[in-house]
Formats: sequence, C-alpha cells, structure tokens
Amino acid sequence: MTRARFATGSFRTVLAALLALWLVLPLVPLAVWSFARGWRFPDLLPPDWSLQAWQYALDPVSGVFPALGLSVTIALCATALAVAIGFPAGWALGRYGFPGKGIVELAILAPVIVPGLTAAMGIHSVFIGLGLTNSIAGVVLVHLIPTLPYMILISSGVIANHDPAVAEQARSLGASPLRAFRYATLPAVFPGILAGALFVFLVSWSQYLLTLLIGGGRVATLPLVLFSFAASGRNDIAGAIAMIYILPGIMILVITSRLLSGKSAAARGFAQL
Amino acid sequence: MTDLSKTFPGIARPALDGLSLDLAGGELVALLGPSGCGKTTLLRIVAGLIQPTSGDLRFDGRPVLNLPPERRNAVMMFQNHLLFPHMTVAENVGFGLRMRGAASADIAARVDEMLSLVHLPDIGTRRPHELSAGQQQRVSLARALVLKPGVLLLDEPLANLDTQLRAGMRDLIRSLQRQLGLTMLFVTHDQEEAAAIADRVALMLAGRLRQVDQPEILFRRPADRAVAEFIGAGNFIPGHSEGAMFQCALGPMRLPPGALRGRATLTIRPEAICLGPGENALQATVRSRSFLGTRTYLLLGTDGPDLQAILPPDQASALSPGDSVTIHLPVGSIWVIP
Repeated sequence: MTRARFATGSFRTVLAALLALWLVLPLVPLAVWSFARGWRFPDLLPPDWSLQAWQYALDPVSGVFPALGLSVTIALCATALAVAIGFPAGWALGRYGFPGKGIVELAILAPVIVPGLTAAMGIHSVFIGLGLTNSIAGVVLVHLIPTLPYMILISSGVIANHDPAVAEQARSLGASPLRAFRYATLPAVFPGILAGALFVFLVSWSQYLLTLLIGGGRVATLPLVLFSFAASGRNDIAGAIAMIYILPGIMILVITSRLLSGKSAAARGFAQL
Repeated sequence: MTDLSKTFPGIARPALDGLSLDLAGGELVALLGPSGCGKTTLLRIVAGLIQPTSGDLRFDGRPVLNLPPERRNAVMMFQNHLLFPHMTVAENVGFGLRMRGAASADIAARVDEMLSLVHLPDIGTRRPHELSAGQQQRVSLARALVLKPGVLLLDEPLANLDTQLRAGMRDLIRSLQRQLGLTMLFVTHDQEEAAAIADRVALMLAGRLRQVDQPEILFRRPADRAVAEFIGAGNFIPGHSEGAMFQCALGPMRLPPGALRGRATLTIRPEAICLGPGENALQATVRSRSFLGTRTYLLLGTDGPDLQAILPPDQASALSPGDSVTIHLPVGSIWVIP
C-alpha cells in the first residue's frame, strides 16, 4: 500500500518535471538569444554577451511599448465582448433545452473545427464594405472568431453544472431575482467564468494571422512586431520581445492559482495547467 | 396563519389534479406519496417557484398567487441543504434577514439564537463544506427558521441523511415546530417518517389527494384500495359486508363498528395477522416462509385467497411449508374498503 503510493507519487513527480521541461525548454534558447551578441551553430553558448537587444526592445524607437499597449487593449476588449456575449449564450445552452439545440451547439463549435482563416477571408470582404479593416475595432471583432466558441462552451459547462435550485433557495429566503443572482448564483459560477475569460484573453493575445489580415499591418500588435524582427533575422531582439510577450501568460497562471485554487474544480484544473 | 387552500383542475397531463388542502396555524402536515406523484410540484407552487394552471392559494385568507416567492413568507427547505458555499455558516443563516434589510447586530443575535436551537452553537465562522451532512442540514433548517416563516415547506429534508441521523433530525424538526408554533408542510415518500412527525398525513397518488387524516386513522382506516395498497395493507378479500359481519371465502368475519355495508373488500396488514385461536379464527396451510432478519414472512393458503402474514421470527421459526396452523384476524385490525 505505502510502497504503491510512493511509486505513484514519484511517478507523478517525474511526469510533472517532464511536463515542466517540455513547456520551459523551448523558451531557454530565446532567453539566451536575448542576451547574445551573435550565436552560431557549433557553439553551445554565445561567445559574447550583451544587453543591446534589451536596450533596443525597451527603447521607444522599436515600437514595442505601443504594441504592448495595443495588444493589451485589444485582448481586454475581445475578452469583455466574449464574456458579454458568451455568458448569456452559455446560460441559455447550459440551462435550457430547445428545438435545434444540437445544431446551434455545432454551429458554435464550427469556428474551432473549420480553420478561422477561411471565415476570416469572407469577413475581410464584409469588413472592407463596413470600413472595419485596418482598424482596432475590426481586429477586436475578428478575435471573437477563435475565442467566442470557447467562452460559450466553458460558460455552458459551468452553468449546466450549477444547480438552479440554489437561486430558488435564495428567492425563497427573500431575495429578489436580481439579488438571488448577485449573492447566490454569481459567486458560484464566477470562478469558472473567470477561467474562461482568462483563456479568451490568452487566445486573443496570441493571434497573429487574423490581426494581420484584418488589421492590414496597420494594427501592429506585439505578435506582429515580434514576427517582423524574427523574419528579419534579428533573433536577439525577437528573443527579448518574446520574453515580454510571454509575461501575461505567466501572470495569468499565477493569478488563477492564487485566486481560484480550492474554489471550483474547473478553475483549479485551469490553474494547474 | 390559517386557511391554506388550493385547487388545480387540469393540466394537459395533470401533475396536480384538483387538489384542496387546509393547514391550520401551528400544524404539521406530512404530504406523503410515491416519487413522481406531484408532492414537490405542490410545494413549489406554495413557495411561488412555479405557477399553478388554475386554482387559488391563500395565506390567512389573503390571496398570494400573484406574489413572487420572496414576498410570500413561505420558506422552502430543499432535499439538498443548498447552503451557499462561499458564505460562512453565520452568513448563510443570516442571509434571509439580510435580504429583509435587518440591522447587522440584530442579525448576529438571531443567528446565534438559531444556531443554539439546532444544537450547533459556535460554528458560525465555519464554511458549509467543513460540516457533516447532518450539521449542514441543521444549518439549513436554522436558515429557514430564523425568518419565522408563515409556513415552512420541507422537501424530503431527511432523504440524504444516514438512517441513524434521520430519526434525530426528524425529532429536532418536530420539537422546534412545536416550540416555535410553526406551520409546516413536510414532503416525504417514507410512511414511517410521515406517521412519526405529522399532526395529519395527506396521502397523494398520481396528482390527487386521496386521504387526509391523522396518522393513526390513515394507517388503520384507509379510505380506498389505492391508499390501502400504498400503506402496505397487503391482504384484500372480496365479499359482502352486513355491518357487523363480513361474508367472504374465509368464512364470516366480525367487523369493527362503523364499517361500510354492501359489496366490499376486507383488508388487513400482514403484520396484524396472529397465530393461534381467537376472534375471526381460521385454519391455514403454510405455503412458504422467508426469514427477513427482524421478522418472518409467511404465505398462508386458506379456503379463500392466500394471505400474507408477517410474524416475529421466534413465533414463526417452528413452522415449515405444509404445516397446518390456526390463525386469527383481530377485529381491531381489519377494515373494509369499497
């Protein structure tokens, strides 16, 4: 018994360590690059170190800071919209049965199954007509294609697992419908919805192709700036920007594990990712 | 609190079919019936969580059907404790008072008072998930009682508890109900629970109220065959009642006073049948015997239909299939139904 548990325990430790390596290892060369002055193939480490790349990346000339601000703005707007649309839609799907529900669910999943680019081509021509191309608003809207399905599905899962009798109990104890939602339902579903929102933020944060297509290169988010340096062979600067680029992901992981652990299974699972 | 009456004729497949019931103030009525008979539907209508298709519902003579649940002063307690997990025990118990806008000092005092009434003082700062199932249900009870509701509606509050906890919780509900003079409608599918807790038992089958009586009367004097079957009467012998005597295939049987006259069915519970000579005695043959732990089940062949009997194991242990025995049906235990 004890031995079996020990074996399972150490097996899990090894697995977790492998998983961590798998996630962290690809980042190591980028981090090294950001401090390197030239780094050629046979060398295990760069011959010379420098802070040049970081200096450039943090200098106003590089445009990294405006790109960072733009990325944050777009991701926040996309998240707000996705929650505003996805939570009510998920509520409807998770709580009620209605004719054609299966088709609606499939249609919602479609953008995840079909490559978003196909839809984006069509949307591009529509957006030209609406004057939404090359604009931040257009980019925010197109970011809903890959994010909204997840937001709706996560919300509907959270709502389906939430017992509606909790709100009825609150009503019966004297709460108005609004206060029953505020004090009984919302606190119960909040961790799941927050996990969904953070996921949406990250998906929007990492969009490249859709931003390029609809933004036409004028909406220069951080991934676009990063890619332009990577494409022009400046691996050192690209490495420095990449370090900045992964910050939100790490911050979100820390926030979720701090805020949500122990409060809901869904959120805990997300935090442990 | 007097006078709660309601009637609901017709829903396409009626969940409740023309149902009327009056609860007196301070009375505990158990709504007894198999699952799916509409008990919970009735409770939810009284609570205001769903609307009846038709009919009327009054508290103290005041119509309440147009009032939302939060303004009815009818508090419902569910089968699951449904404590709010993000609140402490004290916040849970004080929730209703807070919704009514009570002052926080007042809330704290009444919450403490209620928690001691349910024998759980000093747990106010804990979270619901730190409590045992029995404690959770008692906190849930305190949360409802603190509001001093005009009527407390309990939907199988004991169903999720272990057998050992159930009787204790049942007695606690009963004693608090008496102590606080509360009116209660208590839904259960458990006959024993209904008999033990209620002033009156309302038996409900397939959306209709079949009989509303004190437990003693309901269980000893069922109104018809469906009620008798539900409470486990077991033996049904057709025949003809002449008031004091019942003519049937078992021979003439003496009846208790007040029995129905004419073509009728005699009924007796399996455990009421006694071994040995006595009033309404007859000869029977043991067909089969099964030992059920605390009692023994016998199938007895007679001149008429077979009879089911349940006896204490020590009385039945000497009997084996094929034996001939004398049994009697005590007058006080038999009843005649249409």
